Amino acid sequence: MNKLGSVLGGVFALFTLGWIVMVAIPFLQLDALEPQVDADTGDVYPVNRSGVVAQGRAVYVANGCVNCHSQQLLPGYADTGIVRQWGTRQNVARDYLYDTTMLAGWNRLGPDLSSIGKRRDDAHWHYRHLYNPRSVSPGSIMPPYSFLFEKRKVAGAVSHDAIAIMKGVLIGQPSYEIVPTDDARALVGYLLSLDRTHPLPEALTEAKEEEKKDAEASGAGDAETAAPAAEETSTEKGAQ
Amino acid sequence: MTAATLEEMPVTQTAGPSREARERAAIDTSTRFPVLLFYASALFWLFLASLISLITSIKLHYPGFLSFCAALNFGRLVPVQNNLMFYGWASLAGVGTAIWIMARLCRVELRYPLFITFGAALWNLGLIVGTIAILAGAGGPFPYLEFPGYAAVLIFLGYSAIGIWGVVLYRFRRSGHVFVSQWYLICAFFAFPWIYAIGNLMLHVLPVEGAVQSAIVFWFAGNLFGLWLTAIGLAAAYYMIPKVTGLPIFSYHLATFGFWTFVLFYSFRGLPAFLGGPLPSWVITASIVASVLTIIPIATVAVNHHFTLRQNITMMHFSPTLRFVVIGAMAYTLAGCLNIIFSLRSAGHFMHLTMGARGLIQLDLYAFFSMVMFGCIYYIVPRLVGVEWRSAWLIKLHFWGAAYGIGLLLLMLLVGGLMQGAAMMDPGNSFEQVYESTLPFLAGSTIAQVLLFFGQTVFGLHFLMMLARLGRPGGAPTLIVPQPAEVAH
Repeated sequence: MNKLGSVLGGVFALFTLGWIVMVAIPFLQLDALEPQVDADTGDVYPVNRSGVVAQGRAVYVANGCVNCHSQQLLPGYADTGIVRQWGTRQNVARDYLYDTTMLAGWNRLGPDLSSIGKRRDDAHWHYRHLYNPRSVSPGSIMPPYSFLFEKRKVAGAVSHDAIAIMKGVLIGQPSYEIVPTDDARALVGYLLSLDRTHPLPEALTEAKEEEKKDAEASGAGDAETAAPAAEETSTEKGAQ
Repeated sequence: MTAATLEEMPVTQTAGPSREARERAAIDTSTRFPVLLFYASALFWLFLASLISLITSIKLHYPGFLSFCAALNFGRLVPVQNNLMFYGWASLAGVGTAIWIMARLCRVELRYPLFITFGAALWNLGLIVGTIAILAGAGGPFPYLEFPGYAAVLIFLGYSAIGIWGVVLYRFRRSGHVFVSQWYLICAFFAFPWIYAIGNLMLHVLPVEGAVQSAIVFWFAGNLFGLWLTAIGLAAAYYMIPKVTGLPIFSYHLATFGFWTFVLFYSFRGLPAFLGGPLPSWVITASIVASVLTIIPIATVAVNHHFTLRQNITMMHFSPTLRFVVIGAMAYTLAGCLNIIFSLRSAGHFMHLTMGARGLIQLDLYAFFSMVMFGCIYYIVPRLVGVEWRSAWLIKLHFWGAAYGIGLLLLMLLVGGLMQGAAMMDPGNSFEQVYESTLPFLAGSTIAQVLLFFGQTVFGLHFLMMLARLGRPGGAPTLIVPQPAEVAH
């Protein structure tokens, strides 16, 4: 086996086999996925979004948000995200059908953001949080993103999305306001668009998991009480 | 034993010693400039990467630290730190070591060293461009692929000018016998361009969309750590351990078997890092099976090294090379076992998505690979510059900084990660409680980063002294502690 050809050939064969199984076959399998169209309402999920959402995704990528935040809820045995009301179900490949960059992540120094737009639908909260996370989430270890905001003189009326206003002390001294830049607006637009709670048949929800567990436990059990077990444990604090 | 055992083992039995010494000197002369250039730039990037690691580590418990501008934000510094650590330090040190070992084992002089120097320059240019791009906000979101396409092209071209020589050296080898290290090096030289090109092509140049990106990302990371970094690390360990102890590899057949199972299972590894994620579960299961089976190559390496070393274990006390390499080889076994345990679905979710995952990477990248590389540099550099290391004290400081630093870092990240994972799995804990429980571990890992930074700075200075020929001229190799007379025989 010491000929260059045989070492290289062997390595090439095994390496290619790994690539085919780990990359090529999943690619073909996932390539066949179609968005789900609701038969009654005609709702399509997921939707291919462009414009401000795509810009916001680029801001998200450029600032490396993915290093601390995941965007994936795992099945219940491996994750408590559903109980924490980060979402309503496990995320599946179809949730990411149109994602030009897969931001599922690998770390949760911060909470999961797979459906942050559903959980926090107030743009103003996001602005204040980005500018100074501890102002709305005490003790947070998220760094402030104050560079996504600008301080400017108030010209006439205060802008609607200003997060702070500094009034001039003396008469005639100008007032200042802190307003989000276009990047911050796009980023918040993207965050508000994140909602992966649309039911999909292949995705386990808390209710379905309970049902499955009950069915396993008591044979053909009656599982009509399998309401989301989340309700009593989750608090606003826990859901942040 | 005397210091004489630290000298080279004869490569063949036919030639006389003086001719061999002349041949080795000629080979070392031919590799001197490129290998020293690789080492010097690798150590520069290591210094920068560990400085950035220190900053990002502080940021985790003082989030306001250096957060006034976008370029110094945590989310941009972390990818810079990871990429410089991997492509800057680990890969360049690995390439330098690989070229030197290959030339020595093939008994071939390196022709046209300017060509390979050009490759090193391109690679370094790619690192500079990539780092600036990430800091300016042009980085990508995929681990170890954050450099934008134009920086990746520079690295790839640089590699092409380097990697081809590894294969050419082997093709024109003059030594009849082929050593275990050479297979691993051939594997690494072959695998890197493929892995790197496929990763960049499928994610940057002709990007695929959707969840399959994750399959590519984790296949890429698994293969890059396996067939590239681990292969070079094992090649170096397989070279240095017999070389320094003066004993042959325990079992050549075991090593053959270990090599092929290594290539097979390591190329399937990686996806357990995406446990429970949005991919078909069969592909993750297949990867878990492969991860579990990596116990075969890991065990063969461990057995081979253990039985080679067993007869001469006291050498570890004296030889800096052996001490670093053996600690690294032991970390390899530990990393392999932990990776297997946490690739299982039942255990993985305690580690998955926590800082423990970073601990597993550090175990591979620092405790295994970097320690082996430090050992190699201690062995190779005196042979290139013609002087011995200046001071045993500096070696000692480096060793204890690195060993305590990485030990503490692993303890903090792995134990902290497990605590974080366990706290996370209990829905009674609010998310605040979960991350508050990790804060002491994050602070501890900052202390570890300080130790690592200290050790590496000492090593960097010692290396600079060697470059300036400020070492001890000639004589016996510098040992960590002098060998007592009664041990000599």
